[in-house]
Amino acid sequence: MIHRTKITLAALIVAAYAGGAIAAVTAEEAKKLGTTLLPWGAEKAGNKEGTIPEWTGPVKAANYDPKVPGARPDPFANEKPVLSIDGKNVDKYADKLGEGVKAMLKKYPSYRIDVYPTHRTANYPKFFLDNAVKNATACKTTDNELKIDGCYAGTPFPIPKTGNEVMWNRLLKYDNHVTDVKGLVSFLVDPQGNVTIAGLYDFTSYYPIFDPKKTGVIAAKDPYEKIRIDYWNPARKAGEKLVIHDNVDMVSIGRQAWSYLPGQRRVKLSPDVAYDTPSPTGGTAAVVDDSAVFYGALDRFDFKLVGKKEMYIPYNAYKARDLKQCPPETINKKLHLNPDCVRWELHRVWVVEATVKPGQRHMYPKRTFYWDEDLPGVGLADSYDAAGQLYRTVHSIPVTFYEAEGQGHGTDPFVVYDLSNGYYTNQMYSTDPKGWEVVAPHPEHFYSPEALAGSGVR
Amino acid sequence: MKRNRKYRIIPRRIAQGVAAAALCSGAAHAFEIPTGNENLNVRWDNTVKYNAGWRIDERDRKLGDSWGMQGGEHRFDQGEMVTNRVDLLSEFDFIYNKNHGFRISGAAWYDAAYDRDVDGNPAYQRAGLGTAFPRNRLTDSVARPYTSSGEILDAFVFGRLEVGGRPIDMKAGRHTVYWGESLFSPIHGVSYSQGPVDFRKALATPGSEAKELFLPLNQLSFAAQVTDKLSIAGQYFLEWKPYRLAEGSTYFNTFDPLFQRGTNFLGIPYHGNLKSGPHEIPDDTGSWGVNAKLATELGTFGVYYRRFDDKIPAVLSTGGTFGELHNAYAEDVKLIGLSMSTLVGGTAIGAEIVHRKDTALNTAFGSPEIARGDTWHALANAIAYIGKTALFDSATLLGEVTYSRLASLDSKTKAFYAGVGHACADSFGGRGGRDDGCSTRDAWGFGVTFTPTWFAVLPQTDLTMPIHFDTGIKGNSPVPAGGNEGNGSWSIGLGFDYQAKYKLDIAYTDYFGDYNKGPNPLAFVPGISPVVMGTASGGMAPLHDRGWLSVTFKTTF
Repeated sequence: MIHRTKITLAALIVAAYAGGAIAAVTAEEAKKLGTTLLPWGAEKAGNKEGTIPEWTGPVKAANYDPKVPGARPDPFANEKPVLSIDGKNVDKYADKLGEGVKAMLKKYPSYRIDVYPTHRTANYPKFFLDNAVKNATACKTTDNELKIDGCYAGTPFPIPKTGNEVMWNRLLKYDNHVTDVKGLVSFLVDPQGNVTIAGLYDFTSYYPIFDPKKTGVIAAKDPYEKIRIDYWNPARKAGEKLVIHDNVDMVSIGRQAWSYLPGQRRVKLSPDVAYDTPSPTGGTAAVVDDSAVFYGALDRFDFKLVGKKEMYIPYNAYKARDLKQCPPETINKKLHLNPDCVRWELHRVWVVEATVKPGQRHMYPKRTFYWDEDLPGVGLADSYDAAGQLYRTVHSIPVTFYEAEGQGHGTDPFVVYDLSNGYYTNQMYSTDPKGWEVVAPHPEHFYSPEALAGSGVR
Repeated sequence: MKRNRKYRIIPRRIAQGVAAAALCSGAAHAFEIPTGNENLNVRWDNTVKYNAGWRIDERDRKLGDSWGMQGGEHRFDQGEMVTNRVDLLSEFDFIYNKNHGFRISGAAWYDAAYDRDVDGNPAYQRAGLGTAFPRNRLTDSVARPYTSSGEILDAFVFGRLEVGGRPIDMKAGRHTVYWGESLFSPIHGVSYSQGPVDFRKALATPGSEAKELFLPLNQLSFAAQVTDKLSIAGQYFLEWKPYRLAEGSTYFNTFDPLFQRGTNFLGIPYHGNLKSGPHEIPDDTGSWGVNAKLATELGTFGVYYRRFDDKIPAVLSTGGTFGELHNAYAEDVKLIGLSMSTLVGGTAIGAEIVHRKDTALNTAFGSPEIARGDTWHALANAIAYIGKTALFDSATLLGEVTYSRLASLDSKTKAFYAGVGHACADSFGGRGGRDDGCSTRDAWGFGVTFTPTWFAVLPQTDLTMPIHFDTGIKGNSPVPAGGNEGNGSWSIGLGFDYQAKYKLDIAYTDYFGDYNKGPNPLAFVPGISPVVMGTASGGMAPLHDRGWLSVTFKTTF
């Protein structure tokens, strides 16, 4: 019942403010943060049935080895699934499954999702939470909700009222200031189960806005995210490098991407790393903004906040990222990831429907996003083609960095299933036993395109 | 698991994972030779390419009956293989701590379609008039790149200094550095003559991007990030080499005697590059350049200054007497350039403006000196990506427009300028015009490549269909190789990419341009046409009958 009320409320507010700038919530509503709502806006309490517990925070595995800080063993390794869903019983759980998952269960007899007890492991640092509370009354969208104003480095919209606000929560999701991972692989799997390594690369992500030393309002010109990719394989891509800067102002600055291409020792702008251009490491099954469920600017879509509901989504997916338990030859099965490797849990998610704006184009004119209430970058997306047919579905494969309080999460790895051709791409799978390491910042020039050109060897 | 064929020493932890990844995939790309040192990164890649090509166009008699063109025209008949070649490229990188180390790369090749015999026009051979080559045999320097041989490409050391937390990257040895924003044109941008350009490859593969054409030279270079927005770079050359042009009696050449010594033009000896005298080849040292780039919200802007010795030859004759012929290169050319790159609505736009001082201009064949002068050049290009449509899954579009203009002629050498109204003749020795290939005051050109892609058309196979077209739009450029009105090339192909590892390309390529007929001075030879090509409107006209089909297979392991 509570959910229905929320939907109605949200819908009313959307209607009231449609088209204009959206004001922050009232001081009174903001008081819920810290009482009934967690500082980042999720409901503190569990559900009536007891299948979703109250938030309790990260759980560290007993066998975690601080000498290999980026390798995070599964703290829930001893748990057994509470239920399994496959093509035979899919209808029984239909209201808690995404359309893409349902279609896969019906289509692929070998597909199955194992649902485990829910653990709400979100692990935010204090500054982020303090800022989230401030944002409730301070942070606003402007320019048809494509810009933000007066926001601090915390969840921008802990009590979201519109689809764009939920999407902003995704874009400015909390990630560590700097994270490095080596040997990431993107696999492309064909319908016969043949696996191609579409990319092997070192990856570093850098969130300038989450510099713990920074305080104050995020400026419109600030880059919120910078990533750098150094390709090793396939051999023809060896030596290629890519840097991407995403700016808070997605209208007048937007994404800037540069490629360093071997042989020329110069960098060129790479406008292809955006929107619906094919993924450079899995173009058969994914486009660029499928990455990490959604990766890019909001300007091509109208986002409608449908409401909140309980759904099964991959969560605490330590096993799927464990090189010993689920190495590449085990996890990459024909038509889908190995069901034994992927942990699903029941969580409350925000449902957002995206429709391409008149005059804009995208390969997916319609998409539905399901975003976890605790981790706004975690969830599912269902994408539809121009004919309205279900086309692709994206699942994130998240974990919590549980080794210390406020250590954040690793939410970027993802898998995209193409339901039209049976291909899928399993991306950002780390083949480095050292895993995803939270590291000290690299110098700013590490992400500078000209420095890439200067340091290029090939 | 397939046999491992890559030898790459990478940190053990990555390699283990990759080896594991490879187990299931059947697409092993790498395995480890442990170094025991995480900071050491050693990589060895080998690319094998097989290329087969057939002449599709019928021989144009007016070209084949021209004595100076017979070797190129008669080597291959219609339907014959024009290339049957294996290329190996081997690359070895040794990187310590990311920013220090060395790199060596080399190439080797064998082409079964080429032998050393020069097949002249049978009528000239019956008449005992021979060809440009003594005893109708290719000279060593021409044969080497076309038959079988090898060469070292990159060979350099690199390192980084940090000054005040700012990196200065340095390289020493044979390597390529080229600047600016050009996509296709190696002539009109700031990168002109910044390294030897492989025009043989440019002709054999129209639409080759400029980046594929620059060859390494021994030099010292640096790049430094001065602030987050400002970077500077510089280079000083320790080696000079000319552009690689299609050699005499090969499929893409247009005049048999050029460009290596030891040939003749109807008995006039051709000496190629000279080692002494006023027209000796430039010294290895002396060429240099600097640039600065500033990143702003409007885009990245660059400013460039270079001084260099030219790398495209003019063919001169001592005293203009035609007692002999030789190559000559303009020395100490000055170049000032500006560049910008920015995004406009999802399209990458690049542009350059260049001023060259004392550069080589188009020079009449057999002049005593190179015609020199000052020129303006500009180019603008765009890289656009098109998403899925009913026709294709995605596509890339590359386009570039070039412009060049004569600013002033050097008073001492203007008599040798092969421009309209200057030392440029028509087929009958009269005043030449634009359709005789004579340079005009300014010239426009453009090139475009459109490449649609279809994913998974066959199991694990993506398909592309690259379509290229380039032409001179208006005027003949005042500088050599700068483009001619109505002259250009086009190609259409299919590319099959299997497992992101094996690439098969099939392409048809042709060239176009008009020429003016003229009298054949050797018309008395029995069986020879009295009318042959007199003057060409541009560099592509004599290739108009060389349309060919190629099949290329390539993989890196």
